[in-house]
Amino acid sequence: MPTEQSDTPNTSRQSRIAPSLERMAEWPWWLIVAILIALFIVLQITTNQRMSVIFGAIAAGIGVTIRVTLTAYFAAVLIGLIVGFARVSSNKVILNVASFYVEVVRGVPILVLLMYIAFVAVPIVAEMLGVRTRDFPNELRVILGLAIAYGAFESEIFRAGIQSIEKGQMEAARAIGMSYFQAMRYIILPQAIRRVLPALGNDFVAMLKDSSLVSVLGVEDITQITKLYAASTFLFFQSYSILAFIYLSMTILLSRLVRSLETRLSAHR
Amino acid sequence: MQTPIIKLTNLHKSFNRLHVLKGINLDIHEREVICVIGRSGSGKSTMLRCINFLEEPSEGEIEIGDLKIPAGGKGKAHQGLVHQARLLTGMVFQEFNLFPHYTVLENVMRPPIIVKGMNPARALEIAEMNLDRVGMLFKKDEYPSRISGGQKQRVAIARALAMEPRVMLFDEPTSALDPELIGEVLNVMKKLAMDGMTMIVVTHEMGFAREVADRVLVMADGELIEDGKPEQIFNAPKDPRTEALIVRYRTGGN
Ligand SMILES: Nc1ncnc2c1ncn2[C@@H]1O[C@H](COP(=O)(O)OP(=O)(O)O)[C@@H](O)[C@H]1O
Ligand SMILES: [Mg+2]
Repeated sequence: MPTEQSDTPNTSRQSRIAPSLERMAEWPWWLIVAILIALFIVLQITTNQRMSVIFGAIAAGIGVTIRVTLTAYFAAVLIGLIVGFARVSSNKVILNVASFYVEVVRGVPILVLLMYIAFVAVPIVAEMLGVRTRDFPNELRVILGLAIAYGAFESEIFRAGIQSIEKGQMEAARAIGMSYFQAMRYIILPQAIRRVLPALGNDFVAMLKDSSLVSVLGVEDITQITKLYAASTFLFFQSYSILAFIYLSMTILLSRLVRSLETRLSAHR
Repeated sequence: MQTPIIKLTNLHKSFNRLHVLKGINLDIHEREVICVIGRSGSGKSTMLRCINFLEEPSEGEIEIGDLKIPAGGKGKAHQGLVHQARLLTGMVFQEFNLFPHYTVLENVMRPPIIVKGMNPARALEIAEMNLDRVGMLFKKDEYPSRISGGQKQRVAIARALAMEPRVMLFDEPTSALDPELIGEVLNVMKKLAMDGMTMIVVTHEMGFAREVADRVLVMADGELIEDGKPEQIFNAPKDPRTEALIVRYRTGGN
């Protein structure tokens, strides 16, 4: 998501010549157009019988989309936290294992990684555990895949955040008598997390969008439902327009939410 | 004479191939105030940081109170000794290093709770007493970003005191301060000295050393080249390097 700029009015000398025109040029026209299109789609959905049927069919997958996004994101943050710690560890074994994971995952397309985990890794693990692969529902596999993929990204965010804290903080904490983990938990992490909150928020929105990849494995999220629906009714334009509209509404809403959370937290200090 | 509270024996420290401390021998007794002077890069900070194991010594032995900690120790037992040594010493840094996400009060109050598991009511009592001692109780609810450098350093001193250490270590506590803020910090340290706190102070403040120190140590190239009463060091230095150092300070350089 590109972050919106607040357009400051241009108060140069020429603006006195044609003030209104100048100011109009500064308007966020894209936003106006987007809002108009959105209003049109909302109008269609509420008044047009066929459109509201399509919307109803697709919206049935919103629950799956949200569930996949939330669980995969929180799992990814957890993985990221642990691996982020490992990446600043002085233990070479831990460091190398973590680096291997991060570098491999970052070098493979998410889609490929998802299929690899779903069709290769899970069956292998299932066999080792002595359970049937069928017992792992597809939704669980894709959540696992997304979490592992995003875990690598989040770990980089946490690593950068931890390393951005001045060395003196750790030294002061250790000099006071805190253990490494106490210093991390009470001194370094709270500061690091505050610093990386915007990046974590961005990835939450990105996860929502990438959750659409689960359709490849037949998990019935909004993208998968749209795909099936459009293919059987040939209403491609209407179906995919509504799908894009739903994603956009959710991402814009989420971005707003994330940003207000950030300002609330940063206002604390 | 009583046994020293800190005893450094043949202390060496190397960073890779850079030999920084070259065999320091030093006894410090309870209630002594020691000022350490020397040119930049002579190893003053490294010596101080070895005493509370922010740096691991390469060779020699450090005794603090009843603890005997030889260099090169590893494993749980050594870690335990290091932890105890840190509890006996309080460190004040040039750059203050207050915790910016804690208020002034929390900076002083939380460490004993976290490290010693002290109950919060008692920690609050101790924190307020020590903030009062450095004249910073009136800012207790501020965040560090909203107080001056001199005030930050006074809070940092209170934070160290709240751990109830037996020795306070100061590494150029006024070097990062604007000149007009130095006095308030030195006054707090002076008061601490008069209260009988054992202190090792690395400083360029010759006036403070002259007035407050019981002993002045001079470091050069990783060795202690002089150790004596302030009058002797300042008026009748034995080593020409000490003399050069004092002349530099007198002419305002460092
Ligand atoms: N962590 C370190 N790694 C490598 N060299 C260091 C480190 N800390 C200090 N030194 C070097 O050790 C020497 C002494 O430094 P220091 O003890 O800070 O001197 P002082 O405090 O007297 O100015 C300097 O040459 C410095 O560059
Ligand atoms: Mg120094």
